[in-house]
Amino acid sequence: MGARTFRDRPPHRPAPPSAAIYPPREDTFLLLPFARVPAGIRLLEIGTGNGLLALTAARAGARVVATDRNREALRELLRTARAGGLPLEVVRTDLARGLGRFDRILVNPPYLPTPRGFEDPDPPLRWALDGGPDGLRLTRRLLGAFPRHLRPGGAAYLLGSSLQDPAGTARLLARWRRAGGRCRIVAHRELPGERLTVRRLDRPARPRAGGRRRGRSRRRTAAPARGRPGGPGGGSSPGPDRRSRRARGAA
Amino acid sequence: MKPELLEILCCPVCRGPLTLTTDSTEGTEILTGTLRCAKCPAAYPIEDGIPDLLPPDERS
Repeated sequence: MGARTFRDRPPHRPAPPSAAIYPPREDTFLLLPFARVPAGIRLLEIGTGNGLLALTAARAGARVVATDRNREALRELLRTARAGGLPLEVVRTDLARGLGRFDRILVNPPYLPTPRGFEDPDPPLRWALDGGPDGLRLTRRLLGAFPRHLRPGGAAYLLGSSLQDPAGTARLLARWRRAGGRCRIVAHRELPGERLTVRRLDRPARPRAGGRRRGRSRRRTAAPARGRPGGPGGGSSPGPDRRSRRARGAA
Repeated sequence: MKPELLEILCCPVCRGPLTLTTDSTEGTEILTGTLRCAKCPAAYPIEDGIPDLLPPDERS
């Protein structure tokens, strides 16, 4: 859309040609191994966007529900799923509101710290990118919602970035552990000026019990994920359009 | 949406069970219809096979 401006958007995240659906990127690819799941499990992707993760899980035989606020993204995903005869349903909702429990949840939330006054006027772009002033607006809400949407033994795989406020991230994770949940880094990738992580968050054995299973967290040197995140080309070389964050920092 | 999806949906407002009214279908696919909460007055449209559980003022 020619009229759209990106005064405060990093150049590696240009507007897609239509409907502002966030295309698969490094962060998507870092989550991809966790979409390759055993057949039959119930999987929820929150904020599915381009749908790559949900489709991957459905092709593996998972029973998938994908949510988003972006109606165009959901239409496109449903079309693709039905054309392929895949066990995938889509629901337009806020995060996972109105949904039940799942064995696995995948989320690549918007995490770009966005100062007040710099919010994108275009809702789909805001939904896909804007993490609020500390980059944690959605992450905070997700951690509150996960216990309601995970079955016993279930886990959520959550993408995070070093661009998010580190102290805020630490506080959120400490709260998760205090409630009895477990948390560990299961994949990471260094990009210029940014570190992406996937955290596996295990549902508190007894929500609200507090105190159980503490102390087994914070493994900063977690082994890399199965498979090679990074997609075609893999490795650690950043995509050509990826991250020149310095420009943004000056905004 | 397939009718089975209803099993894991509930009212996003009060978490009550939802009942389905179907307006049009294609095979086993529900294309348009309404999900109504059995416990509160809330109702949610299904359009193009997609249930919309956003609050009414955020649906546009």
